[in-house]
Amino acid sequence: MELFELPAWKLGKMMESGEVTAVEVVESVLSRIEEREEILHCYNEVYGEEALQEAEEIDKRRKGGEKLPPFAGIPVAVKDNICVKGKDITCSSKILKGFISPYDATVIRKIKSQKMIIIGRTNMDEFAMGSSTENSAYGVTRNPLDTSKVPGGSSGGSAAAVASGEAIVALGSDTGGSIRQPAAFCGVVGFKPTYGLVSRYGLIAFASSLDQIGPITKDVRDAAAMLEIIAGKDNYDSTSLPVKVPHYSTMLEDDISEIRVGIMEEYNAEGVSEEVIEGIEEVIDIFRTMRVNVKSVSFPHMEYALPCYYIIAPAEASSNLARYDGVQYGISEETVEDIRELYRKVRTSGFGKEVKRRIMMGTYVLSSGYYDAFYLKAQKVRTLIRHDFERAFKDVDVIIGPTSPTVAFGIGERTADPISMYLSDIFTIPANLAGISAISIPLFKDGNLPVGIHIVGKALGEIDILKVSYKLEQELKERGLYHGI
Amino acid sequence: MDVRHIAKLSNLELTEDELREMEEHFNAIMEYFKKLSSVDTERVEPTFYVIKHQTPMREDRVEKGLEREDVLGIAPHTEGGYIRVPRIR
Amino acid sequence: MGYETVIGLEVHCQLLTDSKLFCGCSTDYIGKEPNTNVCPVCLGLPGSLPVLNKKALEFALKAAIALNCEILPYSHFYRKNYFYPDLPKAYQITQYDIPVGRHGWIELPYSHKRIGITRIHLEEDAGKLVHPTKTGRIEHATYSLVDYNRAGVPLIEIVSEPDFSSPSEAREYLMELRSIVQHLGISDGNMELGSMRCDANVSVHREGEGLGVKVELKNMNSFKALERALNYEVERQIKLIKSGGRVEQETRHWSEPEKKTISLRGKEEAQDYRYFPEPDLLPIYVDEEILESIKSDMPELPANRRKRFVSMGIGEKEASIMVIEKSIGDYFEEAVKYFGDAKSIANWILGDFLGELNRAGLEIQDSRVKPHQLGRLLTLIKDGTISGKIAKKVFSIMFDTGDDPDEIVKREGLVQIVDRSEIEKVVEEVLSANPDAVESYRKGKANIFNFLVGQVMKATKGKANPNVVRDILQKKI
Ligand SMILES: [Mg+2]
Ligand SMILES: [Zn+2]
Repeated sequence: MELFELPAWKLGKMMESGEVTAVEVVESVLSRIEEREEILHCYNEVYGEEALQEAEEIDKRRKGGEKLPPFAGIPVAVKDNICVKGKDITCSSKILKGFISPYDATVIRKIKSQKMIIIGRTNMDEFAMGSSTENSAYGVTRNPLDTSKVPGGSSGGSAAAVASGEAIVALGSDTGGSIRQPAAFCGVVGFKPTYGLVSRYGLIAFASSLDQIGPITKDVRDAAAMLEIIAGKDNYDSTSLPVKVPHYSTMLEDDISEIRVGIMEEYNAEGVSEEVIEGIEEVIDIFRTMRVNVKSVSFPHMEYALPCYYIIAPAEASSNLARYDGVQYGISEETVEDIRELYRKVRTSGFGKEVKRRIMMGTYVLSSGYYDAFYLKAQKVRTLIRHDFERAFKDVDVIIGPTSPTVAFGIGERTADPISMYLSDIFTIPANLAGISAISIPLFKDGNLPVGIHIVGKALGEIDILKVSYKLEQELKERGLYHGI
Repeated sequence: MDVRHIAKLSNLELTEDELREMEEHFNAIMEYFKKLSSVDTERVEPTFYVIKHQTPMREDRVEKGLEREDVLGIAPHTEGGYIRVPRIR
Repeated sequence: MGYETVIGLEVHCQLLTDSKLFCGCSTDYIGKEPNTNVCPVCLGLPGSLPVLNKKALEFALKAAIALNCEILPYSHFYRKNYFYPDLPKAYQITQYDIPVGRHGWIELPYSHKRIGITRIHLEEDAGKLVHPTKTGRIEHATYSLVDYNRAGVPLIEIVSEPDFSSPSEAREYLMELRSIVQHLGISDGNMELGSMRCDANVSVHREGEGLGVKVELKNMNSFKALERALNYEVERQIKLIKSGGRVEQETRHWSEPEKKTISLRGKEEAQDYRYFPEPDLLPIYVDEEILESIKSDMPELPANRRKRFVSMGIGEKEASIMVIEKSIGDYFEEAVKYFGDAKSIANWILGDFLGELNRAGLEIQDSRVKPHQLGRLLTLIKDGTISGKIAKKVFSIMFDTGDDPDEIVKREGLVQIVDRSEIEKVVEEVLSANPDAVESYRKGKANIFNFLVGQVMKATKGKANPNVVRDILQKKI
């Protein structure tokens, strides 16, 4: 096995025991990048030189007898919408070309304090708007499992990097499924924490009330460990929850017999593919054989989640993206008559089609005369969706369903039809609307593309879904439905 | 709905073709959104915030900000420490 | 047929917090190099997030209590979306449907009219634009410069009901409002420096008819400017209506050099601010406990202070003038500690002192004359060491030098002559030098007496005690 194939927790141990060095780990990942990047295009930029230097530094300190944090020297890929001081950050948009962040996001400060090594910034759908990483101003990312397929999105670059070994772990952001759906498509683990568990300070906003940063990893153990690193109250984010972060990774092997498991009744709705339904049924079977009582739970307002999301998210986005106007940073225009022309020219040439579409949609639903009918209505329906979950969580602790209605689809297959693209997030969106926690873990069968198993937990129910998904992962291994890479 | 007006509010310039396409997309989406109007939301409060507690507050203390070079260094046009913008009207 | 005027005011006051509303940058931006007082938050850099300044909320609540507002137990922030280069995020974080306070009132000090306060809310200030042309006017500039040092400074916006029926009432209100925020210690209310800004809505209509079309006035940078602008605008609208024209609903700028209001045409496309709740902040809950702690910490307000000053023996008008600028009231109270006759202190402050301050362009707190020195000066008059007339001269020297009055009196030899024999000598000299005057006095020209007193005073360089002079003259003549 190559080093780039291993999860972070294993590499961390190996580095600590002196079995391998950080330089070897980084070199392994960089060589994989060398090998695969041209086809896959996971990254908008790779920090090869710096990563090696940092690795050397870490090895030196370790040799000097210094005790370093467990993930010191682990290469982490960062989605190109999380600010790293002194580095370019583009959100895969032309409009931010040339913008260098003068500050670190809170999660970046935390990762740096763990001595993890930022290996590069990953490709994404422009401003996280998309489900395939095809809406990038810097080219599409391909699915490492089948390069004719999309990696999902919007954190497609991060998911593809972890799946291909171009990174050991990665950070993504999830507004309507942007961590979980690409993780499902690429066959890795993707975690969207409870809204407010991880600081958004330094995450370039798409839809502020829905966005969360989370890890994309090779297995559940890594997800738990990464979550421990990045979670926690942050005084620079008013929506950050004042909670103490549990030691998730030490609880993974705990007994789950007390955890009540629900199955989302709507998993075999219209538009859900055969292989996905089979995957879920396989999982139900696994729980039955584990003698875990599985209960069916229903979500009467499920069908409204998508239209609700496609009102709220664009509305917030239209406001969040208004600041990109060529005045303070990013691209500009040389010869314009006046400020209005500057705004128009910069925004028209700087934003891609999907972003313009959503800005206009958001502007529309907030504009005078339409606010009540669309925006306010959607926020009320959001309450009903939250209530669906509250009701369900009286009976169960976690809810299992598919991450996406299909496995990874072909590149270019859905670009012409935005609504078909939007539909691929139909199962992930409700968790964002309700602000609760959710994970996707992959189920591989017969060499086919993986099916994402979606496990949703309560607000701050991270422990439950991590324990259940860890157990499920073990069972999938047993049954030969799992492969790391 | 007036796509032109929305484009103007958004400070986006669309060609005739793009406007037409956008309008089609809007109509399709709006059709889809109509689903919502069938939901009874009488006596339902909107969820503007999924977190229920009060907004945290800072003590009134001055903290060091950015160096001017960092501010002006990323700006496309500057003059004498200011950021320069075209004619405002 | 007569015309009626309807005016409402929107006042913005910068709060005297140390740091900005949503970040830790200093609020002390005046005179700073451009763009040196900024951070990712107030620059609206991608990824930055706001965190509310606790003190700013307390200040806003203080204002709401002082303005007799209903305090809402729950409020939250909104985004007001519009593109302008001084607004880094392209939205202003402000309040909308639920402000900090609403339905309040204040009573005007002179006319005793009660003015309704519609609402008071918290919001952030924008940056500053510089228009590099000779006129400094935006429409003459070929480009503009932006300084974000002011961006994010906390403001309260106080919206009045359209309760003013004249420009002078509006001015009276604004002065009272400034006095209130000064007494609360939440804003310095300086219109010239822009820490207090005022927009007005003005309409006129024929008596007995419905309300006229509202015009919004901006850019009034002093109390005088406000009154002038309102007067101009009222006249303009009446003239327009009289001549059969129609008042347009528009925003007009007051031009101080031209002494007129100017329409800003072209900019007037219908605004659509697309307000929606700010998702980056959570709601504010104001519970009884917070309110009680703020209430228990309320300083004395102008209305009460005026009453108290009157009870100290000062006229109502004098009391009002001394309260309208908090620092004058403070000075007065301090001086009274050193000289108990409040009325004399008030007369001095409102007379010679304010005159000197105006000439020097100084605020009372910046004067070299300290309250105890003024008290001492009045003590010197009272105990007869100097005359009232000499005191004016002494004060003028005090004002320039800051020296103690005793020292000035000594140095300049200004001690009053009370020694009768000394004065008698001078009186005799004056009488013998003016035989004609003495003659005509005796023939019945009574007012010659004052001339003779004047001659004695002159001969003693004003130092003789005038009462003693009169007494001796009376006897000698
Ligand atoms: Mg305002
Ligand atoms: Zn700041």
